[in-house]
Amino acid sequence: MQTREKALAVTAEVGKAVLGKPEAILKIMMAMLARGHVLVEDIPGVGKTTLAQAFARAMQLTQNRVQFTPDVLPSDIVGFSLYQKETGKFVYHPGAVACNLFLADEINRTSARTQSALLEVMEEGAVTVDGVTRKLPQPFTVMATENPVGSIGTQMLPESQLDRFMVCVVMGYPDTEAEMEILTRQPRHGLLDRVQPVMDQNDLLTMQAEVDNIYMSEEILRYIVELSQATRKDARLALGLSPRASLAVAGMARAAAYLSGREFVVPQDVTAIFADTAHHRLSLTEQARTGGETVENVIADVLHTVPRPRPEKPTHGR
Amino acid sequence: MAGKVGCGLLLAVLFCAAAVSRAPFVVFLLALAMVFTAFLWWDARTLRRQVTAALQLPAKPVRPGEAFAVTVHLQNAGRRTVPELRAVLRAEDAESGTAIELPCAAMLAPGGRADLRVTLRAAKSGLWRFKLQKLTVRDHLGLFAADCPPDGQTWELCVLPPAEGEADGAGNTPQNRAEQESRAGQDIADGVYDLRPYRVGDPLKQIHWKLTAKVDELTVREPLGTTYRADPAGTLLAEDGGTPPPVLHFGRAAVTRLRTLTRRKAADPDTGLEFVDRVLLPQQGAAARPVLRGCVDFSILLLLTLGLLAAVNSAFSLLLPAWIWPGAAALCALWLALCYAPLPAAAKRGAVLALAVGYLVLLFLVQRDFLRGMEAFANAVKLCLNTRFNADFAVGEVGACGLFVLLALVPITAFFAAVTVWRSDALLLDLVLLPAVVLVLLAGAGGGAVGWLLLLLGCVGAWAAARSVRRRRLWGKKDSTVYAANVENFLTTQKTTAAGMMLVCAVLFLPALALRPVLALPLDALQPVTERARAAALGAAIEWLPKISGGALNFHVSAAAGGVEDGSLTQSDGLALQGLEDLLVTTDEKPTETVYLRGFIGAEYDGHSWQPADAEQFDNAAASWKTDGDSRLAIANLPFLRAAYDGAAPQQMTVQRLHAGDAYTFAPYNAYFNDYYRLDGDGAAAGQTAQDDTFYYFPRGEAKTLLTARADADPSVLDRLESAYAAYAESRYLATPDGADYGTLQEFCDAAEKEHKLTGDADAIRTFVRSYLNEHCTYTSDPPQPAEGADPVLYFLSESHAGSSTQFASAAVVLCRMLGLPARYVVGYAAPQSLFAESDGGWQAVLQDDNAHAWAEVYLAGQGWTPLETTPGMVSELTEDQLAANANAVPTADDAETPLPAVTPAPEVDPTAPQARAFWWLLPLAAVLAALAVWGIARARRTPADTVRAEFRALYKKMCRCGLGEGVSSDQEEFKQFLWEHTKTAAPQDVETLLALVQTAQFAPGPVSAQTAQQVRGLCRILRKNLHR
Repeated sequence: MQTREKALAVTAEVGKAVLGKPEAILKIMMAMLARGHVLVEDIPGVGKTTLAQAFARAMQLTQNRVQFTPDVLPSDIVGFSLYQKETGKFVYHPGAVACNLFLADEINRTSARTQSALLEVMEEGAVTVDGVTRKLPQPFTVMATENPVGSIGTQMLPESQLDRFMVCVVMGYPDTEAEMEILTRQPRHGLLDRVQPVMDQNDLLTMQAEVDNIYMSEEILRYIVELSQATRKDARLALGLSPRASLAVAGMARAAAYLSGREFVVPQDVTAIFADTAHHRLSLTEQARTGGETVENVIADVLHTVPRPRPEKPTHGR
Repeated sequence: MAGKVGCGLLLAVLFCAAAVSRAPFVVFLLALAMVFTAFLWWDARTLRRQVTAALQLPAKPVRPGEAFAVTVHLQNAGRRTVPELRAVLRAEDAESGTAIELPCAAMLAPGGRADLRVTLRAAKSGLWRFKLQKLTVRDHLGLFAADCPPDGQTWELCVLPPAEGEADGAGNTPQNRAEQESRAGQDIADGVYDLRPYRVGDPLKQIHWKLTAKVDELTVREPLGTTYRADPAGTLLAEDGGTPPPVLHFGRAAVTRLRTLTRRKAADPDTGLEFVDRVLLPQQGAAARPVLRGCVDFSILLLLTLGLLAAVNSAFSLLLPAWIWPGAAALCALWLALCYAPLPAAAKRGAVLALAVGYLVLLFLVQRDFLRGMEAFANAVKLCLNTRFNADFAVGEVGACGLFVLLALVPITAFFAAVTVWRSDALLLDLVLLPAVVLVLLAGAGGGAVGWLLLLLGCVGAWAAARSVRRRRLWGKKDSTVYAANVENFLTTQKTTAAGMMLVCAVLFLPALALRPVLALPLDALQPVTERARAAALGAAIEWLPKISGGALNFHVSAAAGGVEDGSLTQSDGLALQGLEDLLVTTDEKPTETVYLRGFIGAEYDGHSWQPADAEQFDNAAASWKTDGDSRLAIANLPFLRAAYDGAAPQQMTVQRLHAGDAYTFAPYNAYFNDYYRLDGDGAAAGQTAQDDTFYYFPRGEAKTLLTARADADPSVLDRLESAYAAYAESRYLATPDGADYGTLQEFCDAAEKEHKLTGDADAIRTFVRSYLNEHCTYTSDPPQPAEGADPVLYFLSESHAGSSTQFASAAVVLCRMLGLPARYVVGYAAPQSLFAESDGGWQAVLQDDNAHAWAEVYLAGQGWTPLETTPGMVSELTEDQLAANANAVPTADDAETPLPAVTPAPEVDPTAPQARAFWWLLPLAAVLAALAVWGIARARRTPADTVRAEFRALYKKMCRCGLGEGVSSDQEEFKQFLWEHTKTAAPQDVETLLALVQTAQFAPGPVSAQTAQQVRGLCRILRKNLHR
């Protein structure tokens, strides 16, 4: 489990650049360990981009960044083939996704066409250009940032794409002290320079393999399924959790257990990551929304009503 | 405390018991106690020299709110265990001079060292002086305390004033101290400051030297700080200015409060001094000595069990067989071997279950003997308690009684003794020992010195072990290893102490035993005085008790002054007084048989009571016998004269009246009455006039031999006179009352006579009567009373089947007469030969009130009047040949009950009855055992995972009972917090470990290891045990 120490070291390093957000950093780390993609949703200027860059630096990942604007085209993302006169052949020029950590900035400002170009990339880890499917380098993580819906020039991401993001992390404003620190820190512009690389791509691959091996007992699996079903049955929700979402919850719970140094998942792991994993996948009915209900409330209710496997209470199946 | 009280109580009772029973023994015990006490005093005085204590304080000054530890290094340099060491730590506030005393306690093994760490937290600045004020050592039984020479050295501890801006005791880290100080300096430079007297710890920079010079008192400038700067106009300051700054002040009340807080571990709201904790840190490895522990436990267990058995045995003259003792010892050894054997718990449970099953099986196999033994034992105890006759059983019953004791008494005794050993609590010991001691006391038996001494040794051991009470509060709340080490050290110390005390007691006992005759001398000299005191006390009781009780406790004077009454068969209101001495009998030689002293002789039964013989009738008959001199005397002396005819030498007996009534002269059989005595017809010598009478007499056995020899010789005048009297006796003493009821009894007797061919065979008749009564009637000291006007003898024979010697004797007389054997009813004293003790060249016996007895006598031709003993418990007077005759001639119960079921006592004894009874009371036992077995199997089948779950659930349930919120689950912080707050000895890491283990057991892959289950069980049990509301 020395690799676990490295993972924690990464979060510590990132924490040097992004102040006062240890929880968000931890969640992103978990998502990366679980081979997932991350959606960072927040208003501009809270350090979303710094966060991604800090991760790339601490983990020595190749990183590309695309600022999504309405005129960004799919070929900018996935690459394109160009006719080469000398050889008389089409030569493939890789797009921005050909890296380990792809930062899609302000993803909800671009057109739906460009957004959908990301679908295959995120699901398969491969790009298909001109009928040729090319594998992307491993590990591969998409870290997208988006501005809250309703900001100027934004449009909603389709549910299919939202579902492909493992977690949606909300950064939020830093607290007073962290902000003071940001202002007083020297050098003021070189925050990223403080981040020291502590691991490399191979380490991340090892970690991902280790996370896959984390044991999840039947009770926990049942608990996760029950949570998903509870969201599907809830009258306030128009859309419940998909099986992919259940997979995401399981993966995140494994990663959480891994970071806690355990070789098995306990119910606290699930409850700790459930809100972040489910939040962006759920949508309220019109009735509920106008009734002042929020997704957070629904998630809290679900967590409260579904019985957690507890050692002191008899559970079904036993 | 419980141990001290309990053992004290028990020892007191033991001494009282010894005092009441036999005087020389109590002297011996008292001497032993004195020597022992002196030893304890010496022990405490010398123990103090080997104990040293040193105080250690933090090297650096401490800040307010910072916890600091005061350590007392304790060392025991000697080779003896220090069972209790008390240290009083005195903390004195230099400013106010008020002191706080912190008492602490510890125990130290030989050569042991331990650190007593007291953690405190001072919230306010000041100077504290610490001193080890008092160091007291107590002896092993906690009777004496000795002060060690105090160290006398005083240590000072400075609590610095809080840094500016730092909240008092809030634990905030000081932010940028240099900046703070410079700001304070700025304030002072700006003239923004307050003035106050100097306190220890104030920085020199802040002293206002000019002002100090002016007012001649050190004065310091105090920066006003942020509050002032926020509101320079001073409104805040003005509001605050009125209240003086809080002063650290300790009054007497504060000291009391602190003591309370020390117990409760809370912060004092006023003074701010907070007691954090006290821990005893053992400085050497835990000395685990299971062999020593096992040996000590075994000795105490054995001493208590065997002592109690020996005391009971001698008290009730049980004559237990010898195999009882090794049997009891083996049981104790087995039990302890089970406790100490390094077996898994399941194996131990299995062994206990097997033992229990084996026990029940054994019980079932021997149930008849067991029940017989129980009856015999109960009879013996009852007899002892009521009559104090010597209750020797017939030989056949000893084995059964021993069996009963082994199967019933030994396990109970051993169990209580084991519990005592296990819990080291002498109050438990009292639970079993006190009733036994009281019972033994009531029986009035004095013997069994060995038993008493074993008990004494065991008690001292148990007391010493109970003395070193566990002081869990001191034993490392935060660290379970410290706690475990302390437990180990404690157990070792405890057992060493107990072993040492038992050894010392035993060593002291040996010379005291040698000195016993010397110690008894002064008491012998005192004996007349004590005798008189006792007599006076009894007299006062006889006089005053009826007055005090309003007649409820009415002592019949005649009964009080001798249990002998007239021939009345109904219940009298008299009461036999235990311990009242009636007669002093002295003989030349040790009697070889029970000595019967005749008082009242009843000849005629009128349906209610026995009447003496008609003297006139006798005189008329005697007129024709041509006797020399007084015919009454001549007839009474006939057996003596005939036995002495061939020149045999009689023995001499002196009967001295102590407190017996003077209505009768008590004379033995075959005695010679001189002219001095006035005989009451053919009966007893009337009214004793002298204080003592001396008789020449022939013991019955000897007389029988002599008189049998006379039957073959030439008949002399005396022999002819004897045959004349025999004819008279046959005519006079065969009369039975008339009436239909007696008719049926007569028919029964006739049938029995025919069946057993009893006609004319005196021996057969006697054997038949005795065995019939013994088999069909039981002895009771409080016989059931017939209805008004009913015949007591018929009632006894046909209804109650229970009575005292009066009923047995009366019934025997009636039966003998019906079977054709002349018989009479006699009341007097019976002195078992075991009562006689050698003294002044003769053999003396003191007959007490409860030696009074009634028996039947039959006239055997050529032999004269001979006692016929039919009372159960007095059967010991049967001679060997009579027993042999019994074996041949005793009719069985079946034979006896056939003829007359209506009137005869026809006990419908089903031979299987005892077995059936035993079966029924074995059933619930077997059910319990089966339930235990099911439970055991269920437990054995439990997987480690089940164990973990069950233990954790039990803990959770207990927590819920102790006030944990219903919805709180084990993965919440509240749960840990609750556990931590509500247990005394739980360490936070213990709680963490437990939760991690439980989670691992439930959620981790693979089966749970037995080790994990064991660990969880241990943790859960400790937590559960220490959980409080």
